[in-house]
Amino acid sequence: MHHPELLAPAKNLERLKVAVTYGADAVYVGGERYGLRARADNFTEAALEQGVAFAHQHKAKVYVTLNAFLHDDDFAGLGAYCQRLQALGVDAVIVSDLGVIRSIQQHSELPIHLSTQASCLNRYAAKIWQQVGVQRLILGRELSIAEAAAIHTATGMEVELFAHGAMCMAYSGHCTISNFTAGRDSNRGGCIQSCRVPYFVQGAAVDSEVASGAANPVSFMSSRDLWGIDQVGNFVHQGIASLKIEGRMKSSFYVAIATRVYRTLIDAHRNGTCDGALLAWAASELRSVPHRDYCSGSLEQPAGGESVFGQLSGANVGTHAYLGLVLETTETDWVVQLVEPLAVGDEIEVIPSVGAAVRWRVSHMTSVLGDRRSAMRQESIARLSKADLPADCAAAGAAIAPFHILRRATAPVAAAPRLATARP
Amino acid sequence: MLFNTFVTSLADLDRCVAAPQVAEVLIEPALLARQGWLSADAAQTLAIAARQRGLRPVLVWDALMPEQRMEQVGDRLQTWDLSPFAALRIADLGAAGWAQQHAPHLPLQLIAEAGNHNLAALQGWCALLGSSLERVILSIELPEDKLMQYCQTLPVACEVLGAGPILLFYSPRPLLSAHLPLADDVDADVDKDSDEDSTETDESRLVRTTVAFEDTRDRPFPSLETPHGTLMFFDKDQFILDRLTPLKTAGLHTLRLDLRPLDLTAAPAQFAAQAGDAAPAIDRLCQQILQDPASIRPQWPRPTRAPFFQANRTTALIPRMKTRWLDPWRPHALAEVIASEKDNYLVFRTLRSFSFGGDYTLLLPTKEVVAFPQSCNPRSLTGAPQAETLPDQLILTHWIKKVVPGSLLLPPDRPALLSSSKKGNPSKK
Repeated sequence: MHHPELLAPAKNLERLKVAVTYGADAVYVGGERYGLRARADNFTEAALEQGVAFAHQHKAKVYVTLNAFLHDDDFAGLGAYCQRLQALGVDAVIVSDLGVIRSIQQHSELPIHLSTQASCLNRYAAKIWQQVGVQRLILGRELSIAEAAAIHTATGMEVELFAHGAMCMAYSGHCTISNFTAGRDSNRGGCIQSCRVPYFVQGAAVDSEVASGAANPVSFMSSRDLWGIDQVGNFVHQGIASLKIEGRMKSSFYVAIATRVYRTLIDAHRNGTCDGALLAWAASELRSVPHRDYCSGSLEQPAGGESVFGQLSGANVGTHAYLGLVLETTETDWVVQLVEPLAVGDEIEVIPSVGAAVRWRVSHMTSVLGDRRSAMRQESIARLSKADLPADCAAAGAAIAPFHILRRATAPVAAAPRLATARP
Repeated sequence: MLFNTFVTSLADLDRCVAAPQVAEVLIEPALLARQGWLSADAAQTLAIAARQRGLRPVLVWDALMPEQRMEQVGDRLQTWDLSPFAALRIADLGAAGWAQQHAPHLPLQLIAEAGNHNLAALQGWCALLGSSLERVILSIELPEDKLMQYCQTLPVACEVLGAGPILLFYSPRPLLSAHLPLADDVDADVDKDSDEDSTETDESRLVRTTVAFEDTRDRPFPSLETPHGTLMFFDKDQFILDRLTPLKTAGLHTLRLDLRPLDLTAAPAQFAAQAGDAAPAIDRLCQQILQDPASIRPQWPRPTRAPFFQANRTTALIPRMKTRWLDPWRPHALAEVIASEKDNYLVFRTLRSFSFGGDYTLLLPTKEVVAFPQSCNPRSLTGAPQAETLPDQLILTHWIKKVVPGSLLLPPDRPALLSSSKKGNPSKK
């Protein structure tokens, strides 16, 4: 059976390691220039070297985004940069601009994946990109899985499709609101997300979103987030080469949960063990991270009006809060970096890469030096005692390792189904 | 330099004939064009009428085409008589591919306005599409000097928008009708394979409105929902009609004059649109461009701008958005501070192997420089003294005053910390 690659985003080295730890087959990252996430940490060459080494050590690939639409002056140094990427062992680059593709081809032998920004939407376009020398197509989010499969069949090219994450409302690369209203090039990393803000729509019916007064603003062009948990089987059966998770600006929490969920589902489809309980678990897990409601986008049929997120109805913050990341384990402790305050008495969960969440109430916590604490502030490093675990969780606790994430429920949580305890 | 414009009626064509230097007209069928509403028959009739008047009719296919839609449209297009059309204007590469396969006689005009902001890309398209490419439509995000350079360098004719609406946003999703009371009256579903001519020929079927940011309601953006999705335009029109001489000298082949009305309720006196017309007053406008271009701007029905004509500085702000001044030193760093507690400890994550004991320096996000004390007692998580480190290891030390997470530990041979930029100078403490 075809086994699609699971491709996860990584804003920085930490998130790359989180993604790989939770089962990503490949990660995509931004370099310091030429990408679309100018405000992300992005990878220095030193960090990229470490990231590639870590990923390859775990049999994962690293793709670097060079997907800005460059102007002539932006090309300075691109050829040499591509040569360094190749020397670092980067597995492919993600590109949207034909000029950039030509430059890469002149200076390196890096495989080229066509960015979704290029809006490749049909087999005729795919054949032209094939002529250009592109190895893989990251197809537009406007396509269904069946359409992507048809393009794959017609061209023989690898196709990659987004299965999860935030979506542009516009055809990718066809929104210049930031350029003209804020002087920042959305296609060179300066998008200000104007699609997410409310607008007054002339002639709009009152009370589109909020029930107060006339002429209420509406977030008419803010897209719901994509999820494809019900379609993972289709990705597998239709021969999609890569199932992609959006989110190079997102937290380690998001990267961990999304990667873990799709890893579990892909493996379950491969093993024939995917069932309703597992899908319910997947939905519950994905709802644990902040998101803008979910819809299946155009994975089955073209997204319509129901795919608009009512921003004014309040952002969905998720059922859990991100608490921190396991940095190290010792014989007696887990050493964790907190992103939120933690106090003795709090009930927390550690999410292992495989198997059920490990949940317990903290009764013993120390600083990194080992002095006992009743509470610790965010950004600090705490030691959580392994002895705190209930006896029936001890085995699960043994699976906790560096780059696993901690979270805390902020809303009632559905019971977890039985999960496999080992990755196939 | 020639002019072209969109046409939707015989009256438009007659005005184009009367207009100096208009040799070509753009015809938009509902099936193919984002803003199109003409039926296949109407488009073909117009094309024939244009030819009879000595005008060159160009078939506009600027809607993007997801696979299934592409197949449907391709099938329908094969039933069309394309012979009246002199060229095909495309935005989706797939349309170019379709044309090369099914209508190889039709020259192509490539809309390169989204992306394609560099010479290498444009030259690439010229090479790839070869002799079938007769023109490239350049982006208004390119400044004048680049437009001139490309006109002089590219092996095909170039076109740019001289005056008209600036498209900000193009989505395949229907986003407006759900918010507008007239939605019930609108049949905007071109996907249904019903009688094309009865569902696609009425201009009033397009959903038109304006939208505005919450905090700038006085700046309405004209917006349109068509069978191809939703379009939003800037509140000001692109306008360079009084700055054309250098472009003309550089060999710009065609200047596009987009007079398609976005707001039928507005009634600008000078360029008032009659219902069903797309090129009101094109004859007078062309005369004015040639005879008195400076007089046009004050009469233009909407505010005007050419935001990138002088220079495109849309990336200038980006470096200032980052607080990453430590980055130049990061490749040289031995370790990074990831946590601290006042008077108690620092936690470093090592970035490479090294030995403690050197003349090391800490560079702080505050731009200060602090000497790394020899007596800071580096140790592992188990408390074992740590003279040597491995990469990616957590190391504890005594707390060092002022040092905060994000600080970098640098070796003695790191690049000079003092730069010529006064603003960026770290200060040694």
